[in-house]
Amino acid sequence: MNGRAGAPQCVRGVPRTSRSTAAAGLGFGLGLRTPHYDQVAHGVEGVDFFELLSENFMVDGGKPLYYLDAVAERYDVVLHGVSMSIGSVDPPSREYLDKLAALARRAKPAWVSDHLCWTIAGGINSHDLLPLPLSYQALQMVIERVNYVQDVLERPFVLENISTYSTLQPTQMEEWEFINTLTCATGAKVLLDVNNVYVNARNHGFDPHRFLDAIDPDSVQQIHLAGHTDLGDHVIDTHDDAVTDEVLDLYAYTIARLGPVSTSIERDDDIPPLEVLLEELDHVRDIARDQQSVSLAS
Amino acid sequence: MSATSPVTNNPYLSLREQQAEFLAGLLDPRTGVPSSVQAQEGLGREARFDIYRTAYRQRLKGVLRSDHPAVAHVVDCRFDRLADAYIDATPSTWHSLRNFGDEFPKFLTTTDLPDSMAVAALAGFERSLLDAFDAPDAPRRGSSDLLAVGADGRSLSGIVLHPSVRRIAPGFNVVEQWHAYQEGRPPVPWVGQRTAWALWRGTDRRTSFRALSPFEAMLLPRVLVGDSLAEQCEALADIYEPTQIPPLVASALRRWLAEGWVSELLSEPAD
Repeated sequence: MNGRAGAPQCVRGVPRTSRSTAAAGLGFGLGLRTPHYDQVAHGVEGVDFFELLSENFMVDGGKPLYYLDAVAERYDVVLHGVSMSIGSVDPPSREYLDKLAALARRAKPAWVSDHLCWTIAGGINSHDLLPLPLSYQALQMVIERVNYVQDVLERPFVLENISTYSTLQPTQMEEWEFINTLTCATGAKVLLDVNNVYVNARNHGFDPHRFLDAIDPDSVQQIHLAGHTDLGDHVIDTHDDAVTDEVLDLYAYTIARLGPVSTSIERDDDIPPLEVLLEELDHVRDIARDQQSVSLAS
Repeated sequence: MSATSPVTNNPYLSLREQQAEFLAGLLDPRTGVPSSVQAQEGLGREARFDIYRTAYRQRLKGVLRSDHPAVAHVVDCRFDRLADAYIDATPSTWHSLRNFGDEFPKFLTTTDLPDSMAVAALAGFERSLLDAFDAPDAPRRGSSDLLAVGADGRSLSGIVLHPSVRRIAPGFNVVEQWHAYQEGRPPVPWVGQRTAWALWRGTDRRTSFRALSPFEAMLLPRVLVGDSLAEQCEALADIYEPTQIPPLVASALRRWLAEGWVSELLSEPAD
């Protein structure tokens, strides 16, 4: 991005916030979903951490907060939101951020994440993760927003690459350039969703390895894995099935390049018994272990 | 995905205009594909944007169906049409989907649905269950706390209820209808009903409800708005003999304490 007129720039070496959490791998985790609350609150083996959906616990009281406390007491947790709308032109909601900060004080997560997208325009919330143009204007705005959010939350913020189906004009850089400049300029980290990389590669016609090769390794805080629905000429990020072999191959490639990274599986629809997800997580753990063995041997 | 001209010369919509146009396209299926959606190889622009349109509606319909399973049971195949109309009429201004259906009961009263008022009352009952489920936590007082008030030489002047306690008077047999859904039975015929109900979250964090006695049905609204005991007794004196009121209040209070409805016992120095 160096030297392009209008392009936000960043030179690596002076991160804005601490990178101390970057190396603190949590291991292998699951996105906690309602059908499993009770089982998890009473303790399960084979999971190193749970990822909690922030908005499910931004309530006044009752069972959600009871389960939050019970799970956070037993396990490492991270908070993962869907409603910050960091890419909206609408200013960030201070009320939302204050509630999130309060939740973070209560749950003591290793980190807090949301999506690199927008959901709200003109005060109307689509409740969907909508794409940003890969433009200088969008990048500059998101840099300012991330700095503001980190100031309010008083902790490093982690952003997930989303799956997209449309590309919005103008496209002035590649997605990984957008993300690398953003993390460099703000010290924010990346929640690298390998399934989303695969989905976007299929939907937009690029080699997913280009993305994985280009993303700054030091910026990756966590990896997401999830299932998708392959409709032949396009792929939908549905989170309603097991992680596919193609995505697991990309995950192996990613771990070989990055080394150990906290990894979690997301399932949001057709949620199976917890034991099924634990088996899937074991498989992911084996893949990561195999890649690390190969790295050490070489 | 190759780069085009820098922002200083860009002929495109501003980000604000672009997001407004994109959202308008999601909200109203009659609008065209937003101008900023780029033509790409493979799927056409329309097909790509339709993925977002479909997801937008499916997500919101899913929330309404999940929040209002008994309504969906009663209206059956008409639910999708009602949900679509609500989504069109009430775009979300909430951060959480938890609140998206807040206006659904009121909306149902405006529809041409047969028995729309009864269905709206059932939706109101389901929303009250949701509201009680995640209402704020608060301490709960028991009968020993009531004894302690007297032992301190003070007299009870009022009570504060647990934030989860709600009173509804749906006007129809919504609880019977809700049970029919829960038990997998066909919907029951609607009938008018004057019973008032209390809903609350118990100490086990489960949401419960029960029918109120006629006296409780009159007392509870006054407690919920913060009337003192003296004000409550004065208001009820229009209906009950003055000598009847203290034992009825004492009986209700004992039951409410046992059920975990009472958060605070207010007292003042005894005369």
